[in-house]
Amino acid sequence: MNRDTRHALPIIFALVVAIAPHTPGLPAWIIVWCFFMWGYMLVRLKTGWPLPGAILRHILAVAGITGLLVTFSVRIEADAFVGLMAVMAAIKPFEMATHRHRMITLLLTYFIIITSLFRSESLWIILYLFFSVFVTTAALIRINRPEGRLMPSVFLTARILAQAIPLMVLLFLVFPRLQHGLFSMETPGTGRSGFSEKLGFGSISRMTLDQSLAFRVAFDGALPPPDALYWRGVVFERFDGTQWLPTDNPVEISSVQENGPGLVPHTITLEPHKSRRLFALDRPVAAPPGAELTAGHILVSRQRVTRKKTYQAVSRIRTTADDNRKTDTLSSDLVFTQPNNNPKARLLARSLAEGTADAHGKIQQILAYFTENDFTYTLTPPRLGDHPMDEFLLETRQGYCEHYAGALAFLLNVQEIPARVVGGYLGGELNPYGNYLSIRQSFAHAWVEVYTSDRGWVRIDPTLAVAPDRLEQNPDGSFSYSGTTRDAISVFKKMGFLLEAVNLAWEAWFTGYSFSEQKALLQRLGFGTSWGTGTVFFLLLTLSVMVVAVFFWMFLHRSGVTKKDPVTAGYALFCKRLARIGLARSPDQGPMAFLLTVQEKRPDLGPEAAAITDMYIRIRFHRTCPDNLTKQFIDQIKQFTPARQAEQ
Amino acid sequence: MVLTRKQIFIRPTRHGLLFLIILGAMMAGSINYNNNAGFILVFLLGGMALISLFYSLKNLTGMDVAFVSARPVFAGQTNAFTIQVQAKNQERVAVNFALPGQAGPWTTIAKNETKTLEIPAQTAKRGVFIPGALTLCSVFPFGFFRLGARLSLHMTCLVYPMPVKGGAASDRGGSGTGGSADTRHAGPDDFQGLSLYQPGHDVGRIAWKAVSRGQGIFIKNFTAGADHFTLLNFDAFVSRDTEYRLSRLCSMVLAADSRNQSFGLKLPHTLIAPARGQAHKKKCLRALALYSRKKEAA
Repeated sequence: MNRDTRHALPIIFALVVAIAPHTPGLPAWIIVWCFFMWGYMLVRLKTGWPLPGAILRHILAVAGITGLLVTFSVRIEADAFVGLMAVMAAIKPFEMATHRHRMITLLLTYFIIITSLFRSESLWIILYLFFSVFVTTAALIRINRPEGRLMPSVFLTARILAQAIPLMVLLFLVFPRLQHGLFSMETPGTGRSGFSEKLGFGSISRMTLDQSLAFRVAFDGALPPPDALYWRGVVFERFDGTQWLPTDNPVEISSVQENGPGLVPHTITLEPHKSRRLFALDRPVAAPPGAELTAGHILVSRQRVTRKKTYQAVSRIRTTADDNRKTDTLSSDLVFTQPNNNPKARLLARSLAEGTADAHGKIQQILAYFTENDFTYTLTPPRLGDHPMDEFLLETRQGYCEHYAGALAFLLNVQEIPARVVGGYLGGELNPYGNYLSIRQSFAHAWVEVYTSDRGWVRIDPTLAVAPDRLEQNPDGSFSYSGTTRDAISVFKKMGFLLEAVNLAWEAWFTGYSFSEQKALLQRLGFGTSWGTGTVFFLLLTLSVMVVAVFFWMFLHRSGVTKKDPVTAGYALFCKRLARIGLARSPDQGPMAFLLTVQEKRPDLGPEAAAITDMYIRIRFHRTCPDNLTKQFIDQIKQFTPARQAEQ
Repeated sequence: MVLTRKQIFIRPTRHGLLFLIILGAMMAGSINYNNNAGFILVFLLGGMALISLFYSLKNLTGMDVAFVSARPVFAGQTNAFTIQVQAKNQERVAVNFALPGQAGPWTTIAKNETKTLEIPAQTAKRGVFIPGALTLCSVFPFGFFRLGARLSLHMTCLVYPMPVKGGAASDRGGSGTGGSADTRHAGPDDFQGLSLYQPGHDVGRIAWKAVSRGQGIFIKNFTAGADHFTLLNFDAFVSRDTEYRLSRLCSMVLAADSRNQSFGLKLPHTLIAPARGQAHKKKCLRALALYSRKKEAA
């Protein structure tokens, strides 16, 4: 193996490992580009093909950047940055002839590793981080080892990594966190669009194929029953003829301090979705910190949810008429739909209203219309045109939850009964190991709320009239949690649940560890915060840095001989005693010269000082010196107490 | 001389500074986005860099470096100081040994191994060459810190004057009293016969033809007598330039020695009696090297 191969292989491997977590987010051409460049490097190690010259390298760099500009236009975003890193990392191995270039390539690799952390903070990514750091560091040690043996580098990396972990944990726990960011920039996080701002026909059925996680929920107490697992996210109050729109200016309502039975506290870990919407069990009664409860009982975060967010919500799942009357109001801007669209559906609404006076009867009439007229529940309904209600209610009669919810609310509004569509999720997959529910994008659902003066807003789910088993079964065919037990699921599924539970437990702690958690931890450890937490943190940090620095300095300057050497200490004592009577030894004086000074100035001390100096020189410089001389020397110095005045 | 921690200095390398900058950027990003995974990476890398420092220290401490010897050279030549390095209880990876202003070898020494290294140094002028402290350094394992130590091994080396060949005219000055009036006197003396080789005889006089015939080892005898010698005289040169005269004398010493001629050397305050052989040559060259530098050498 020649020198090039020895250096190039570990570096390319480190680059591949660092780039790998980015592959889902990168355009395909960049991945092909990377594979091509690295593949060429690997092949040329065997065949000895030439390295591209400086001109070709510049052309490649320009081509790569042009490709990036075409792909990302001029948007400066996280993906474009990662793309740039990948494009550059792909062609960097072409110029690794010198040690300097190899070092810079590996430093760049460390930087690529950190960019992958802005995508996710799951346990797997953290474990992968350690692997990635391990590989890169092994390559780093490897290129700093001229004779280049691989295995010792790997072992040394493992040792250093293992020894750095305690330090890392300590720093992680005590390093002061800020409550807000430094520059308040947008997080370069990624997120799914999740719920759209409009509820058209087909907007939810599009989500049914998306198996990715929307959020997870852990309950403090027992799980609520399956028919209560409605996750409220957004309220649509206006119908514009083709789609339902949310209220323009949501008004904040005060959180009601409620207690008593029926309240369900739960903790939600929401995946990023780039909007401010927070989900909670229907209906939340109090807003978590950093969010507000708006009219319609919708939780809205003050910042966009661009990173995984964990919050506590309290909901009341069984609302009684009393509860609702107290809190519910009919917003004054609730607009009944304009009569110039969907004329046939409007006629249908009026005909269905005939014969019943109260709202409850009218609802039953509409639901009966659904069940009695061969309406079918399907994920792939036909496309609807300009008057979607007409077509859906009278022609196609195939639809998904948003069709039924939208139609019911529309028909009720035409009958001048206040009704609105609520968007969110229904159901949840129970992880038996973690006692929490996972709610996937495919569980998206829409239902209706109807307002009556005596009962307030009441939930009606028209989809259940058409597909009663939607409660037990998630749209993807998986069973809602009530239908599963540990025994009924396959080993792989169990494994998946187990890993997921471990990861959630990790994320709940790790991702959530920030300013307030740190404060709580330090308080538990007994660091009170009477001066304000910032002061305490910085004092702690300064203190720990100082302690580490002092230890380090002592370690560096620890001398194996001088500190504990009794002879040096003895002679120092001798000098100190003479200094006390005004005979200080100047730094340039050796023992002999010092003795001469002493003898000159204080002849009375001469013989004693001469004896001590003689012994000192014998111990230090004579090849043979009796073992007990050191003891004798020390004893003599201890007895040596020169008087300030010479004896007359 | 055994290296102790006290002797070792630590400096960050350029790559170490770059690493620090990158770490700082990562830190700023992690703080700004409150990214805990980012903190983990920053603290892990920082911790590893700190701990690598201990391995760097371990890589150097306890190593035993000793000066062995240095062969005399002529001024302007590159000299090599031979040192012996004992790795002792552990492997010493990628350690550089160099003298001030000179490049030196990088070496790795296995555990318990002893290695002999030649440290080159460029000499400039004749006399006793004191190269200064031996600097050893290493950036192992990460290349972020340069650890090194300066060891005063009291290395010295004799540097002879640079030999300068001169024309006939100047040679006149070099000739002095003696059995021969002219240093240009033709070559070796007359061949007398062979005598049995004894250890200590000059290897250059071995009769190789006889050896190759399998007759045993003989040396050739010449009628080089005490009556036939040259005295190389410092004061006999026309030029007044001391260094030039020493260089010329040096060249003449070498020439006379290669002809196996008997020669003596006369410098102011010094007279080396005519003789021949390796030891005599060295004595003369040493006298030339140290001429008027005695005090410096002491």
